[in-house]
Amino acid sequence: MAKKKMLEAREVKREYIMGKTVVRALRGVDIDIEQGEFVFIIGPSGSGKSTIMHILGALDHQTAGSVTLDGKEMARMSDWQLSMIRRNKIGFIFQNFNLVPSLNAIENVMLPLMTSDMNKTVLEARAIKLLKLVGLGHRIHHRPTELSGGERQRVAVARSLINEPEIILADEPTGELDTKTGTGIMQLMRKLCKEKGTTFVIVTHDTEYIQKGDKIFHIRDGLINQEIYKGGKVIE
Amino acid sequence: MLRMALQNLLRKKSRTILAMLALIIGVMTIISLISITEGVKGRVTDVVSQMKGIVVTQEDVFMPTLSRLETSDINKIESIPGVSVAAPRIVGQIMLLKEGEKRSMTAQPFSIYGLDPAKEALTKKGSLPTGGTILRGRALKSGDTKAVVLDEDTAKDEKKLVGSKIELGGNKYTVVGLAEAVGGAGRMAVVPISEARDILEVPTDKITGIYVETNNPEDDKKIARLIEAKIDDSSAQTTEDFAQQLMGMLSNIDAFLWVISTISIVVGGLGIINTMLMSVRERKKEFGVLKAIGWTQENILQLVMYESILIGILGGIIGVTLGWIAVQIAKPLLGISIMTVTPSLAIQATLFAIIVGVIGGIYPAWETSRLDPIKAMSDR
Repeated sequence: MAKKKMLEAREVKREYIMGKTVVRALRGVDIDIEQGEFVFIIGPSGSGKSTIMHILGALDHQTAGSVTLDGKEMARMSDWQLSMIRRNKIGFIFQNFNLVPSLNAIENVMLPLMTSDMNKTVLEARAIKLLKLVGLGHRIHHRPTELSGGERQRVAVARSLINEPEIILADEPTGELDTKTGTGIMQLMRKLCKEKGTTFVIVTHDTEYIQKGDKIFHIRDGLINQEIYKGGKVIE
Repeated sequence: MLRMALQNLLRKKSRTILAMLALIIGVMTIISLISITEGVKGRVTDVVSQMKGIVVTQEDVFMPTLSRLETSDINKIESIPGVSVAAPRIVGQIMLLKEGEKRSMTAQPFSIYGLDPAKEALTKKGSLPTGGTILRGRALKSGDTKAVVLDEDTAKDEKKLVGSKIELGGNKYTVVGLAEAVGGAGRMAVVPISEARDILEVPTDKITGIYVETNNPEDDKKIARLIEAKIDDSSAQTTEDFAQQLMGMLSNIDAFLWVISTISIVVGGLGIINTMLMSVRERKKEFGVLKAIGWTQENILQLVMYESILIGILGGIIGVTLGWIAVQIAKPLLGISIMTVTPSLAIQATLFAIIVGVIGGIYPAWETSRLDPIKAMSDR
């Protein structure tokens, strides 16, 4: 069965100028992600894994090469168009949860669509459903400071789902959690991928979880070192 | 989003208050200053409308009570053709003491008006600030001694009725009449001129001023100049002169108020810019996240503007309230009873605060909306 191509990166390069030196964060990366896949990007710190995630997530522009989402080239989009892509098609999960401290769980979940024209009641109902889905039905009015690390990340997962995104990008989602909690979050994301068909791209340096992946990109020094498919089969 | 802006402000209450402080002080200042000048204007207009004819005083004196003219000047003025009457005046201020008191910290200045009832009867309308309208009892008449006409406010304050006795400068006087208290005229006692001489210790050959009426009011200006020419070191002012002088003074006050208001706008605006900048830079990461999860530049601009405008609204309301309280406190201290904070003044001051909020928010909002989400999120 041919899957729909979701994200495609070709020869993506990203250079930064830091003082007088040019940092080549990405030196020609190719990545293909199909709909419904559970994908890992792994690599040591400084390898460029976060950079590629930002580019895939419409948060950053590449210096050269092309990135297409649903067949549309993102390099040519305006700031507003990219905001709309992030609002409508992409969900984000961050290492340090990045919840807004003044808002409670349900408000944090609604945040991405708070500025859309969506009906408030519909939005609230959807947020409650998602908080229940991630196991926080009893905590919807708690502020982030009243929640544990694992619970905060669950709020963040619920938030990433509020816009019913086609793809969720997670940057070290288990980085600040203990192993048990981290495994719980990982299982939750795997379940959502299976049940909702949402594509997940997870950046991690935690190799413990990657057996669960459909596709694993190993990035090193700004290049894809290996593309490992499920079952440990290595393809150069 | 408005609720979110409010929650953001409540998160750091002390900083929000700090941001509002400059604005509150500005609004307060404007409220109290404007109501004071409005009060003064009202008072001046009232007094001027009561005045007729020409008032002659010594030239270049700071206050009418310090003016000294010769008693014989009355005859000199009456000899000028066109003058119908020249009535002498002895005015001054004393402290009104409670019975048995030697001195008092709370005593208020009290005006003594000494006049000659016989001459006064010849004027068309009394030149006194009371307007001459007697509410109870009668006006002074020739031959009165130890008699006084009080304004009704003083009578009420001092609990005096027609027939009561009141102590002025050590002597007891009988209240023969109560006159209408004309706005802003202040507390006063009208007594026969010889009594005023006694109370204020003015020698028999001196008076403080002369009130002149003419046969034809259109000649007032011309006659005033003749009086000044005839009497050395004198100043003769017509109602028109007075009005012009006062209006000139009031326009200076208006200009001064404009300067104060402008300073308040600048200080209040800078205060908001400063605190808002500090506040948004501290929350850089949060705004980065908002941008990352799909908020547009406009959304973020709107959020920061809401916060700033809320500061303006709250600052305005608090400032108006405090200004109103300040006016209530100042009223009895300054003795200006017309001073009021009108609804339109309150609304204008609040609008002014909101405008400052808008102006103060523009730069911080613009800067925040242009944040690069990645850089902002990696900010620690």
